[in-house]
Amino acid sequence: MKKLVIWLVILSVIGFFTSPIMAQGQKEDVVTLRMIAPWADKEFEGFRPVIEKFEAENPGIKIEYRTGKPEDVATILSTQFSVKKSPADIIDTAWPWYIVQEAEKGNLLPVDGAVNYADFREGSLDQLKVDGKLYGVTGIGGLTIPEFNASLYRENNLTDPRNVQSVEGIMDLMRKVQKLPNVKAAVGTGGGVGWTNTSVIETWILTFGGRKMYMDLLEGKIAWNSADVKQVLRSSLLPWLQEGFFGEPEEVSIVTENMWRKQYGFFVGGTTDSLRFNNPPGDYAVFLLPGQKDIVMWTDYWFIPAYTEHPEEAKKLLAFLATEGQSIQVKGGGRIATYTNVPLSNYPEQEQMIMGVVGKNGIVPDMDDTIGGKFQTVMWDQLKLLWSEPTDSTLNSVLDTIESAAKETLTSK
Amino acid sequence: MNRKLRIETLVFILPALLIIFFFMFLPMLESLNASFHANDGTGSFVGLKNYIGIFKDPAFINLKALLEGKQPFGAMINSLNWILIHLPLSMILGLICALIMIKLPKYKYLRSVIFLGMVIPGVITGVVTQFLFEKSSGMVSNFFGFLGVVSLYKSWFAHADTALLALIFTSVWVWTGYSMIVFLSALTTIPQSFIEAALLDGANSPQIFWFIKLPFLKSSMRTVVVMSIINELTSFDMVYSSTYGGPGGASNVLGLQMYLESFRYTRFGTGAAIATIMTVIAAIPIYINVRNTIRNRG
Repeated sequence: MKKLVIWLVILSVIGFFTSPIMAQGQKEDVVTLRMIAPWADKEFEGFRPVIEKFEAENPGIKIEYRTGKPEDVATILSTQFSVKKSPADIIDTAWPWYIVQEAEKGNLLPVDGAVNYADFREGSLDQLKVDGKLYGVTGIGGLTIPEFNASLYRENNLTDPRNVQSVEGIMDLMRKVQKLPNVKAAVGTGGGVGWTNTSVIETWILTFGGRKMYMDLLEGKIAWNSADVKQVLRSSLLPWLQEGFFGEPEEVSIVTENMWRKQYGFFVGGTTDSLRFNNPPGDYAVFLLPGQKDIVMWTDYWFIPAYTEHPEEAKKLLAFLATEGQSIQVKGGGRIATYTNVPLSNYPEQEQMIMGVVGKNGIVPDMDDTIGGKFQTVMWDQLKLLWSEPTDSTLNSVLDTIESAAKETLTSK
Repeated sequence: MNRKLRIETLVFILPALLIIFFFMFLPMLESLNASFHANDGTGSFVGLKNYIGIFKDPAFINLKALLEGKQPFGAMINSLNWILIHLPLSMILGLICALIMIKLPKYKYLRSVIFLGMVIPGVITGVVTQFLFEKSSGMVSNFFGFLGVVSLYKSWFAHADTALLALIFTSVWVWTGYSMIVFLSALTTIPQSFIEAALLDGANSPQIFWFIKLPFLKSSMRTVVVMSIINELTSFDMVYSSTYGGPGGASNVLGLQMYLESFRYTRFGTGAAIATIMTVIAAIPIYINVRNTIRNRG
């Protein structure tokens, strides 16, 4: 019995070490590209046709898809890149700063020539360049904008928010919404890591501070704890928080569901609702705050690790995802293309309405996704504190902490 | 021990020793080495700079906030608070459950119910906890609402004064089962004759507990203390999946801060320094426990 056990152990060890060698001996007729992107469930169903179309047009390439959120993928990549390995040949991220960071370290493949700059929103690819070389492409995106269920206002004979012309008018409307039965709060608050609060503060800064203040904060030209920024937030955001317009945090998918159940007046979302909800026509609506002229657009990006074993095939897939892939993906709803050659007819009705809003207003990049690093994590965290204690002293300390993180992140670039 | 027996013993423990050496000891040395090198990727030796930087960072220790009594106190203080609140509560509750369970041998399924928290993954515990302490539908929040305690009728995770407490209470629930099982096994080893003799001498239940049962539980208590402290110091999954250290760092703990420094801010040197500090803190109760165990055997 003892000898049998010893032989079994020896054979297992031999088998363990020789199986990779035997696997490599098999000839590869088909190239398998490993892809990581954050979409699952219904969101993935909107992306699946993109994979199917690419595989149909490229019979020698198969795509192996894996779900991974940017923050989790970044954790895995930091350790894998350090040993010059990669878990995937093409990866999606919401963070352009991450692409720049890893490109500077030599971990990404340059992709110049993969796409035509003129086919993308102005400036959208510039942020992915390092030393003049392009290291990523833009994918689909969406708008950060107040979304609401129009039937809540219609059924309660309240003014549609799109028709309110003043800030005081919106606040009065929200006071009425708060008093409705079944309504938890005027504005839904997303819980989790905290990015939903950044959507609110970005929208408020754009509206009440203006595009220049927003872009100056993005580029580090103005401090978060400067008198101007404090005054804007003190006079515009604090009153909303202090009046209790923002509800207790709920998980993001739940807060949007509850908004559709008319438990919130609106939610500053990312225009992805139509992926998850079948809304009756006319019920899904978006509005700009009175005086708002610019809108934040969040975007997904694709990049190729330098350690891919199939660089040419990966570049081919990258080019497809950035162009025809977007044309296909927007048909599933909940997405706006950064590729400008996508016909309006490809968008479902709701997204055509959103494209109309895009056409009339300026677009700015998402602030925390663009700056990233420690700033992003600190901003997410500190805004949760401001939401829970909306006082002047908390605002001051939050802005001091955010400024410290912004300075550290921007000076390290 | 003769030579043949020594060789046989070594052969049997060698695989485990090799695994410990390559997958624990060497990485620990590497981490210690990294803690003395720069965060900027240059690999240059910086001495104690990372450690000094940690103690100056309010995210790690915020004495000003601690003196004002207002979160965030910093990850180090939060982790120590976690130990100070969690340890006695889980031990006392575990002991009470063990004393009750030993008198109810027919209700063994209750032990499984109490122990259930230990088999649920930490990430799931964090997600479930969010619902338990949520204002709209959480059992805990609504219980306090029913009692009229308005200050606790809220989403605990959304507020700096209650976020850490919510995590600690959940952790107590999880670890009570472990304490119960350890104490229960120790209680079953107490010779019945000791208790019978005490009863004959006129001892009452509290006296029997204090003078007979408690001394038998001392080594179990040491085990529970050591394991609890290690667990509380390395808490990460539950915090990550529920509060992510917020709001404003109010529920940040050493395990999460180490993760943030290493994998979010890519400051591996600082992350390694935090890991080293955690190891040193955890080593103290382990050393005391091992020393006492050896003394008692001697």
